[in-house]
Amino acid sequence: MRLAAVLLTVAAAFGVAQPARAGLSLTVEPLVQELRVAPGSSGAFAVKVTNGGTESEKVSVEPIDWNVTTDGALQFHQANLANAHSVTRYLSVPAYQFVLAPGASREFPLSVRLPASFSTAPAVYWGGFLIRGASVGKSGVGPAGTVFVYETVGTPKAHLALKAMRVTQSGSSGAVLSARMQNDGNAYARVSARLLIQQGGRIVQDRDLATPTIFPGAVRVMNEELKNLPPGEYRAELTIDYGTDVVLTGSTDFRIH
Amino acid sequence: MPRASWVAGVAFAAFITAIGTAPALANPAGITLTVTGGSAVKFTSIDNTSTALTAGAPLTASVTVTTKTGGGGQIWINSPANPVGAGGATLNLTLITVTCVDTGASGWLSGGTATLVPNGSSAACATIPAQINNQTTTLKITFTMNARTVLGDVWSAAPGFSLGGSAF
Repeated sequence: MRLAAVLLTVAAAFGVAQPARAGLSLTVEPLVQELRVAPGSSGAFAVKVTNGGTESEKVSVEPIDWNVTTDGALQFHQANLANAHSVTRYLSVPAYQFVLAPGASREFPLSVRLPASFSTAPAVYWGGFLIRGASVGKSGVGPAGTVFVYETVGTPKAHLALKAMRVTQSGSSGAVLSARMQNDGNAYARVSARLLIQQGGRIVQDRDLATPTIFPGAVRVMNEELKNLPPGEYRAELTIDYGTDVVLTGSTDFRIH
Repeated sequence: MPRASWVAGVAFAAFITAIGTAPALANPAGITLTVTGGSAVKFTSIDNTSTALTAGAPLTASVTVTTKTGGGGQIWINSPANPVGAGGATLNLTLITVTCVDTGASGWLSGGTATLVPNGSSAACATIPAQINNQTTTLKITFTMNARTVLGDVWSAAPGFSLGGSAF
């Protein structure tokens, strides 16, 4: 079981050193958990939910399935038993609804138990929970966060390919970089990408790019807007690390008129 | 026009991870969102000039976004099922667009628009790129509806809307 160093806090105050702010507040952590639970066994990790606001909250924990579209948008919905890649049906928490007083926290185990009949073929599965806070006394927009769970059985093959890359001018001093990747392996790919824009051998822009996980068989198109590029010749160099012992690199030359 | 040449190559990485499914270089995002204007959701639509859907004040929320560690994230709106109004009309939430504007002018938070999804989450209304550490900005989130939609009903205090965030 690997614990991803993830913290995403939804709503709430700026930390213990500052007073709680009016309105609804919810802190959920961690937001990502990577598991390696063998079929026929179980595991668990702690989830902490905190109400950092000034009024009591009804907290709901809802099983979800989630996916990522080709353009990198997260999509999640109620858990679907027909989803072959979903591990959500094997996830559980002790309570799916509870009330938190202002400033209160609750920590509970999120457990996964895979039946002995679960496939032992190397593969990845994913699922999770949507955790939402709502006012006890009135309706309104509330805060929420997701806990995404990844489960890996065996050692699936990890392979990501950079299929295409180009830059097209957009406006007088801008452009859009488009890169298409495909996960042609059996493992999920959590991608870290870095883009360098060079002019005459000098780096004029250097940025880290983020895109959600690319699942097996999926294609991902990253579109990155480039600004403040005076007319001239440039080279875009993209480096993609997806957690294996290789990285992908691609480059393309372009001109801003 | 850009020259269309591109190359893709594979090289030995400077960083080698232990297992095939280990995270890549960047850890997922750590951010803090602070909702400061989550008012009740009250939609009204009276005629074909209606664009703001609230009964009374505009339906907006202000969200403060604070990053903690590197990584990327997305901010979205989760919706309930299509609400039924006082007059019996069902409001199709897919007609409603949510706009997220970075009023903090951070330069790193990319606001955009997303369409509500009944009983589900919208696409990202705003995205946070990787490696934005310990930064804070404010998002203003506004709900609007296609002005051509004419339903003539009031949907009061529809529950179940959430502003949320995900890391991946």
